Order: sequence, then structure tokens, then C-alpha cells
Amino acid sequence: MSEENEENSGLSQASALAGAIRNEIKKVLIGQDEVIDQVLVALIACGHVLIEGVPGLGKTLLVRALAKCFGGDFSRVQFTPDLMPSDVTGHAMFNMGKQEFEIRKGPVFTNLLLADEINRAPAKTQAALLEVMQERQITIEGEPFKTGEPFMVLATQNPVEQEGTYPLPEAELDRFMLKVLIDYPSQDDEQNMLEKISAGSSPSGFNLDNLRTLIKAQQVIALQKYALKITIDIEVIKYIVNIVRATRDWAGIARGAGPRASIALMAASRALALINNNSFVTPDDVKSIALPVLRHRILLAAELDIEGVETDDVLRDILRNIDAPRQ
Amino acid sequence: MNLDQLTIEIRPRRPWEAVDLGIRMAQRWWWPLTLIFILLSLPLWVAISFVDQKYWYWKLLAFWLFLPLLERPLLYFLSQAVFNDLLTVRAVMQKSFTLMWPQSFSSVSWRRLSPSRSMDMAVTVLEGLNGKRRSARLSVLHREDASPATWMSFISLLCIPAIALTLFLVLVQFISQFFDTPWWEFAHDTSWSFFFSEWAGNIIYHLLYVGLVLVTPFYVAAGFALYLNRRIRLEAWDVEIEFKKIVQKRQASHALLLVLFVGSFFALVNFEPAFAASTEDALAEENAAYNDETDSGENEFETSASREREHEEGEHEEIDWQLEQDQEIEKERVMSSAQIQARADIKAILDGEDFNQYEKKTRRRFPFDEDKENEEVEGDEEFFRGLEKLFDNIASLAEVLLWTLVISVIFFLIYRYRFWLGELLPERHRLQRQTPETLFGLPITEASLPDDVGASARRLWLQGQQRDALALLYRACLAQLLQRGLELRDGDTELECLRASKKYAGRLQLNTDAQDYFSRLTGLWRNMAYGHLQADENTVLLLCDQWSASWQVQQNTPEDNTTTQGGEL
Repeated sequence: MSEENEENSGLSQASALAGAIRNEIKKVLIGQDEVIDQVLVALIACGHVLIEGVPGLGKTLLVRALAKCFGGDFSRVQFTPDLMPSDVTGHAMFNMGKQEFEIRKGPVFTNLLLADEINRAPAKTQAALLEVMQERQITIEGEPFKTGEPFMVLATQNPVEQEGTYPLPEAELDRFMLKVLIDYPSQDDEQNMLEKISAGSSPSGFNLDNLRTLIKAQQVIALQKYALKITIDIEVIKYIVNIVRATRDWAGIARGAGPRASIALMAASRALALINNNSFVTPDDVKSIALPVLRHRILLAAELDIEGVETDDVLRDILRNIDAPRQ
Repeated sequence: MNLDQLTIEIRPRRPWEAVDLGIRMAQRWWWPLTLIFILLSLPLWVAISFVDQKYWYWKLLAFWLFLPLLERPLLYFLSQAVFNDLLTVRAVMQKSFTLMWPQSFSSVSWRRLSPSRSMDMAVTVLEGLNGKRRSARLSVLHREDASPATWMSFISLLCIPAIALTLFLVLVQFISQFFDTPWWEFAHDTSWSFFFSEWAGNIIYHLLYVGLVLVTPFYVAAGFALYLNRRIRLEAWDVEIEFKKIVQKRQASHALLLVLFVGSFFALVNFEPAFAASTEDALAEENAAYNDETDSGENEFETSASREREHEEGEHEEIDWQLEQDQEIEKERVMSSAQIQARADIKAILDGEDFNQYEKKTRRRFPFDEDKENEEVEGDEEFFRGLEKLFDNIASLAEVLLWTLVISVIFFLIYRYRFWLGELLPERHRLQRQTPETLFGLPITEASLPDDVGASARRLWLQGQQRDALALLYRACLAQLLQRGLELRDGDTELECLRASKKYAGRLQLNTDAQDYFSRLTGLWRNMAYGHLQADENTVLLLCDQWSASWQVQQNTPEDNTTTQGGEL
């Protein structure tokens, strides 16, 4: 009984911590609560996030605010067409003084990596992130180097401007746990945002200096470990598998999601349950996080694409029709 | 009608060009037209203005109804002015009652809504036609180039309020300057709101009349120009004028023979103006003798209507397009000895050698040739008749198929959206959704549940089958919701079911107890099913006991139906 109480207490603390981070980020990113939750889910579920939205919605601000609340290391790489893989990962350099090669580590050796406008870099530079995102290590001159722990890539991209961009390859897309869409805020939220800016000291935007550091790297790792303890019933696991498998046979989907999607969906559902202060995963958790997990992992059939059907519409259709667990 | 006196250039025009001509006519005679309209309409406007302003729409309606009668004198003035007979305003006013009276009731009632009124008015006022003959005449006139008349009605309808509002805004600007208040703030100034609303209505009301005065002359003139243009096209006035010019020249030089020859030739090529077809009978009656003598077709340029009117209303010499004078000229010309001579010459030519050359050809002809020719003709006729019949049948079949398709589509749409449409009906007429027998792959019919759900669940719980007990309660709740009309999909989770039940609680007739019950049960069920958390026994037993009361279900028998277990859920 005491063990259960201790567990409940730990869950409450973890949930409260996640809630505190969420509230802190909400101070600067107004009207994007769902996006903040999804980014926190990815952080707790050891995943990476691809944030997509038109310019000016606060994609970079969200990541900077998260980095501010997070006490670990933070690096930012602005992806440009002339960015080389070694600029991201690091390289070996000959030291004339010591007469030996030494490794100069790139910006990926950090806890939080912001890959701003990731689709502006060519494929070879984007591919440099493949290993680090999956294995959390980088091989330089044949020698593997571990990144910091925890490690999370937050990439942003703009869906409107396609000229001079390089669409992310499928393999890389699959390595992002969530693809988060950031949309325009509501009128009230936007009004509220302007009022805050007008009352603040920084005329050009939000002053991130006011944000508190609430969590350290070790605490994030503890949260991630705690999420693994969240109970998930076999029926819910079946439900997850049914959803992911349905994307492979569904009319209108040319290519469905792979097993990595099932794993990601389960992990994300657990993280969401933790944030919601639940000690177990419910089908509601699965449904609410299914869209960000799956939307970048499926390819719509050409006819649906031509008709302007969105990936999210098809996924919602799947979620409506897959039997929710009842046993 | 003396076409020589026309003050406008006679030539076939495109319809909008004719409207332009009407606008020019209105501009040329703007002042008399406006004055006539003001003199006629102002007394009526002043009279209805005495009625209480709260009935402003009735006042406007009354004036609007009488508007066609007020426009008639304007049309009469224009019809005379076009033939270079510029009447004085006094003369028009003296005749105004005579002009306004005929067919006045129909003009202000069912014909009031006619969009081509401006063009049709000439048929009523100038030609004096009524009934079927009027309809036949209008059908000929409307066959082409009538759409601008409709557009003119529409445009004038827009112009009048536009002018009124423009003048009003100008006025408001002046007033706001007077009160030292910007006009755009004037409407928002609460201290002036009463003044603004009360007087604005009155001002706009009278400015509408100003707009009407400005627009009506142009509207009438445009319609009359369209009517004239149509007659010019139908009756070839331009050709007639050219002929008359030639005749005048030839008469002067004693060389009429050639002119008459051309005229006769014109008749021989069977030139028939379209108007002749519509009023053929009338022409035959009126002009029989004339036709016999001249055989030239020129008499068809006059309308039968004008002639009738001449007989019926002898005093309307000015209105009948100066027909009498015209007729005399024609008769004089026709009866001239020169024409008699010309006819004789033509006859001589036609009887001459050039027109009477015969050639004799011979060929062999066998009896079967004739049969064959007849057969070919009959065969062709048969073929074409058959083809016609075939097309008729195909068309009938296509019509049947199309109607079937249309009816099927309507039925499909009604069936597809029957529940949505049912929302529009009163409560007692709404369609009842068919309750599904299974949901989420589980039986949820009443028959699949025990008679006393609460007692059965309680027994299961006490037997140690806790999950089954809660599952039975939850399934029974779902069955209740579905029977009450809640629509659930296979993919709906427990929380979504709960949200839906709360959202449609009114429609489902769910009382607070039932909502609270379902909410508590959903929480317990989720904890047990997905969290593997043991529920509190007292809470569950309380739920078992409250089931019937919360859902207001009558228990049929206390006996438990042990064959139905809730373990599936």
C-alpha cells in the first residue's frame, strides 16, 4: 500500500513538474497550449519534434522558451543551403601545435538542439542528423561519440515557401516522434499577446529572461524513466497496433506507418498520461496523440492529394472507425 | 404616321444602342418631360404624404403602383416629339386623363410587375391594343432585343435609392457642419440619435421622390426607343423612307415608272415583315382593297392597331401616328395613272418572249419508271417518318430516365439526411433512429441484458467478478443511451461517450442523476479496465443499487437472468 502511495505521489510530482513547465512556456507562447503539450510529450517520451507552421507563429520562440525552462545545454543551428554535415556533427582537425588530430564537436553535442528551418539544408546535411536522432551518438573519423542526455531535436520548417528548400527524406521524417502543426492563435489569444507585449520592456517581442529554469537534465531523465512505468493495458496496446496497421490497408493511403510509429504512439501515449496525472494509458490518450505521431509517417494516394484531402482528415477517419477497446 | 417628319435617324440599331438613343431623347426633351412628370406626380405624392409616416411602406407601395399611369403622358409627349410635333406641356396635361384611363386597372395590378414595362407601354398607350392582340403583339416585340427593357427596370430600381441616399449623405454633411460635428460621427452621437432616426427617415422618403423624378424620364425614353427600334427592324422603316425619297425624286422628274418597278419587284420577292405575321387577319380586314390595288406590300408598314383606333376613336388624330394623312398620300400615289401604266407595262414584259420561252424535251419512259419513282418517294418518306418516330421514342425514354434519376436523387438525399431533416420537424414527428444491436462488437440490446441490471451486477461483484460487474453496468448504461437516441461510433472512447451524453443530455432526456451516475461509472470502469485499479466496494454496490433509479428503468422481475453476463465488456 505504501508503495502504491509512493508511486502516486511520484506521479503527482511528475505531473506537477510538467504542468509547471507548460505554464511557464504559456507565459510567452500564448494560445498554443496543445502545441506546448505535444512538445512536452516528446521531451518526456525521448522523442524528437518537427514543428511546422507559417512564419511568425512562434516556432522558434517555443523552443527557446523550452530551453530556458530546461537547465541543460541548448544549441541552435540555422539550416542554410551551404551548411555542411560537419558543421552540424563536428569534425577532426589537425592541431599544429600538438601535431595530432583532435575532434572538434559540433552543435549536436547538447541536450536540446534547435534545427531552425531544417528543410533549407541539402539532403546530405539533413542526413547527418539521422544517426544522432536514432542512436544518440555521432561517428567522427570512425569513432562514436555520445550526445548529451537527455537529447532532443526540435526542428522547424515552413510549409509555405517551397522554393530553395529540400523536403525531408522519409527516413528522417520517421525519426521524428511527433510532427506538430502550429496554427494561428484565436483573436482573444492574439489580443492577450499584444497586451502582454505592450506592457513588457521588450518592444520587439517577449522577454525570455523572465522565464524561470524549472527542470534540470537529470530531472528530465527521471521523468522519462517514470513514463516507462505508466501502466498500459494489453487492450490499449492492441488498439495502438490496430490504428497503425489500419494506415497500411486504408483506402486513400499509398504508404502506411511502420512499427516505429507503433512504438512512438505507445511512448507518446504514456507521456501524455503522465502529463495528465494518470497512472495508466487510456484509449483517449492514444487518440489525442495519434495525429501528431502518424501524420508525417503516411503518404496519401495521389488522387486524394489532388482533391486536396488532408492527411489529418484521413487519420481522423481511421480513428473514428477503429473499434475502441471495451473489454 | 409620316416617317418623313421623324427627328431621329431611322436605322436598325443594336438594343443597347437604342437605349442610348432613348437617353439622348430624354436629354433633349428633359425639361418638358420632367415638368410633366412633376405636375402629374407631385399632387399624388403630397396627398399620400399626409398619411402617417409610420405607414411609409404602404405609401411607397401606393405611389409605386400608380407610377405606370403617370409615365403614360411622358410617352405620349415623346411619341409626338419624335415625329417633330413638339407638344406643349399644357397640351399634354389636357390629354393626360385620356391617356391614363385606358387599361389603367390592369396596368396598376397584374401588369405592374412586368419588368419590360417601359417597352410594352407603347403597345397599350399608342397602339391601344388589349387582350389577345396585345399579347400577340408583345410576343412579336419581345422576340428579340427586349432584354435591355428588363435591365432598364432593374437599373432604375437601383438608381432611385442610390440617388436618394447620395443626396441624403450630402445633406447630412451640410447638417453636420452646421452642428460642428463630423458627419461620420453624427450617426453615433447618441444625443442626436432621435433627431437622426426620426428625420432621416422622412428625408430619405422625400429624396426617393426626387430620385424618381430624375430617373423616370430616362426610363420611359429608353423603353420607347427600344420599342421604336423593334418596329424599325420589323417594319423596315428605313427601307420605306428610302423608297419615299426615291419616289419624291422620280415624281419630280416624271420618271416614276422605274420606282414602281422596283416596288413591284420588292413585292414579288415576297418580302414579309415579321409584324405582318402576327396581325395578318387585321391587315386583311383593314386593307383588303388597298392590297388588291397596289399589291406592293407597302401598306404593311402601318399597324392594324392604329387603323382600328382611328375607326373607334375618331378624335384621336394626333395619337394614331398621322395615319390619315399618310393613307391619303399612299392612295394618291397608288391611284395615279402612271402606276396603272406601269402595271400594264410590267404585265406586257411578263407576257413577253423573255418570260415565255418553252423548250420541248423527249425521253423514253417505261411504266415501271413511274412506280419506281413513287416507291422512292414513299420509301424516303417512310424512312424519315421512322427516323422521326425513333427520335421521338428516344427522347421520351430519355425524359423518363431523367425524371427517374431526378426523383431517385431526391429520394436518396431525403433518405441520406433523414435524421438531419427530422430535426426540422416537430418533436412528435421526428424519425426514431434505429438502435443498433451491437456496438464495439458487443451486444447492447435490451434482450442481451438481464431484467434487473443492478441486482445482477451486485451479484457478480459479490461473487468476485468485479470487472464483469462494472462491465455489465457500463454496457447497460450504453444501451440506455442508444435507446434514447445517442449516436455513437465504433471508434468512440469512454470519455467521448461521456462527453456526448452530457452534450445531448436534454435531447436524451437524461436527468442529473443519470449524468452523474454515468460519469462516476465511466471513471471506475476506466480505472479498472486500463489502470488495473481495484474499485471501492461500497462505491460499486451503491452504483448497483442506484442503477434503476438513476436511469428510471422499470424492473420487470426480480429474477436474475443468469444467462447474460457482463464479462464481455
